[in-house]
Amino acid sequence: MIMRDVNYGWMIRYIHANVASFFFIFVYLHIGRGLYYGSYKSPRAITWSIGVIILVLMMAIAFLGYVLPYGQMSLWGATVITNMLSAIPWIGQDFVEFIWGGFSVNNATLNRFFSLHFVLPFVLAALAVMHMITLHQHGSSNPLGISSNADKIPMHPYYLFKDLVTIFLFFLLLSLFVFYMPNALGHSDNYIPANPMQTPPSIVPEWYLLPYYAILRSIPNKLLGVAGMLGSLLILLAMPILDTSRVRGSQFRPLMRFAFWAFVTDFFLLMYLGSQHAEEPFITVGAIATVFYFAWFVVVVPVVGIVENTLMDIATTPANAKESAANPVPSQA
Amino acid sequence: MKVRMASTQATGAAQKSGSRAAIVGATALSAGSIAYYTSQFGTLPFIANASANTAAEDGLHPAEYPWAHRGAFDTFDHSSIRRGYQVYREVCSACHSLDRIAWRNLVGVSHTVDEVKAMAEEVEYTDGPNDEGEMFQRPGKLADYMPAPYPNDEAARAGNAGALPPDLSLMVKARHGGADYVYSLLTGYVDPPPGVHVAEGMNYNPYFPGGGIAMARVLYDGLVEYDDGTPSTTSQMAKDVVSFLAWTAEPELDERKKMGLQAVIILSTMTAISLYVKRFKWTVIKNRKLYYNPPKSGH
Repeated sequence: MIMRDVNYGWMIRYIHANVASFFFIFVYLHIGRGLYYGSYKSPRAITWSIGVIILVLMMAIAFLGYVLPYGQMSLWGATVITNMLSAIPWIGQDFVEFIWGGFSVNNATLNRFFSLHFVLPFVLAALAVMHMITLHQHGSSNPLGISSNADKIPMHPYYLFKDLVTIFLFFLLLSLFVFYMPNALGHSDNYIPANPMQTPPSIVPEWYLLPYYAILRSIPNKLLGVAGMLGSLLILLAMPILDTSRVRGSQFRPLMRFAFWAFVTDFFLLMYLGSQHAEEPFITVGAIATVFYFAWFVVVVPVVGIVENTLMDIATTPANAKESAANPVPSQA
Repeated sequence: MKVRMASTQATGAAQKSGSRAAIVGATALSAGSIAYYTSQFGTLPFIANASANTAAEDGLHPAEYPWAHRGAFDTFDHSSIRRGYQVYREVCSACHSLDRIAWRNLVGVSHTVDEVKAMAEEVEYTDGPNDEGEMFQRPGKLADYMPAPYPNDEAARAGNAGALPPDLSLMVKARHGGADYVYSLLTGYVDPPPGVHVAEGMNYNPYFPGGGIAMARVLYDGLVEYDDGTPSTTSQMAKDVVSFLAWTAEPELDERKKMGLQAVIILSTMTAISLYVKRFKWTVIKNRKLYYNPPKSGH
């Protein structure tokens, strides 16, 4: 209906679908930037925490929206994702049927998912406002990781006009997708009407959920798999604690820079694995990639920080500081 | 000391550019060798083995065909859509519905208003109820949708040995490979190779995932007689009907690409202008000089 009989309805729907993907591209870049430059460190831990909640809520909203066209992928994606709740011990199955409003994904599910897909973005907008209010407590960080209070420039005109470039560039890129390859980021099976009697050969989520889908599938226990998937997002909340380094950001920490790019590689590896059939060699590689994902947070980040701090301490103890004593910094005299 | 500092910095910079050249060189070698290998031997060995399905289960990969509407600046071949409609009407519509297409959609795309009105009037539609509460039959109008061959899915299955002929409105968008796949499927019927068992009532088509398809080959040379005198070979009819189905799946394609070009013109201009404005506004910042006046000693 909207695609064919509403004037430019196809444009509305293609923009809506592709902007969802672009939203995730920007948010992933934003999170990566935050990890690289240590934006999560005190005093901005609250900003970071709200950001993680925004990410989780955003994924929920995107999933709810993906169900609404009610093609094959919508139906079976909804079946897979809602069934994850059945992993909750004891009340899981009852809980899932409560979400469904029946005994499978059905019209009642579709109805409430539509309402939620409409309402939750307002919550997301409120969270985004909170994200910015908490940011403005201390202001933005910068790539050097040091205070920039001595040299601040006003938002207008400098950042307004700088951001304008990115805004037009974004619209340009978005237009290329909307007008020339509107279905490139989607799955062709979703143009087959939902059919509860026929399972598609492979059920895959949209690209932005693939890394987490890969983590879910890599853990052979259902409850642990669901916990792992949720944990893979929530573990971001622990970054302010896990980063033991005294230096903000990775700019001056070669070891951390290497670790950061290893993590990015692992993220894309998981994204690829999530799109593949659950078969060897993907299962083994997926398990290794999942272990690395968690190990990066729990082991790599703290250890890198401790190693760096220790090396710094050794270099600056008086006994080792002969070099600097022999070559003192020229005084201003 | 200053000399030493300068020399260490110089070697450091040289080392850095040397390692950078090594990285670029290694990456170029890696990418180049992969490109050469794949051009000579197809996909890499460890990737070629990665499919979970056998080749037969995935179906043969369709070739890429030079569709009139394929490129960014290309539009539909409307005379092909017109011929394709004829193939759909005379052949496909015996089993396949086209629910999302109304007669009015054809106007200005493949036929004139008068032609479409005449075609619609040939079909009887149930309308009503009238003043006596009775449903009645009337000739079709432009606003009516394409008549379906079967009243419901059960009737469609009963008429096709249990197989449901899918609706064709979105077919080109709903299959991997799109138009290439549908064309390959229509023209790809062959005898099953030795050792391949095709179930009773099924037909062998290597492009169909699994190989066994309920639909038999329908297009044979000379099946329809085109108004414009185009020879109706199997491949010609397949091309035309796929062009038609590509249009039914994405009727907005011509306008979409035109608007895309407009969007690119406007937005690339705005990006360029905003870049100049940004440089203009920032020039003060970029060219400022920061200096530090230390307090005079013994003040």
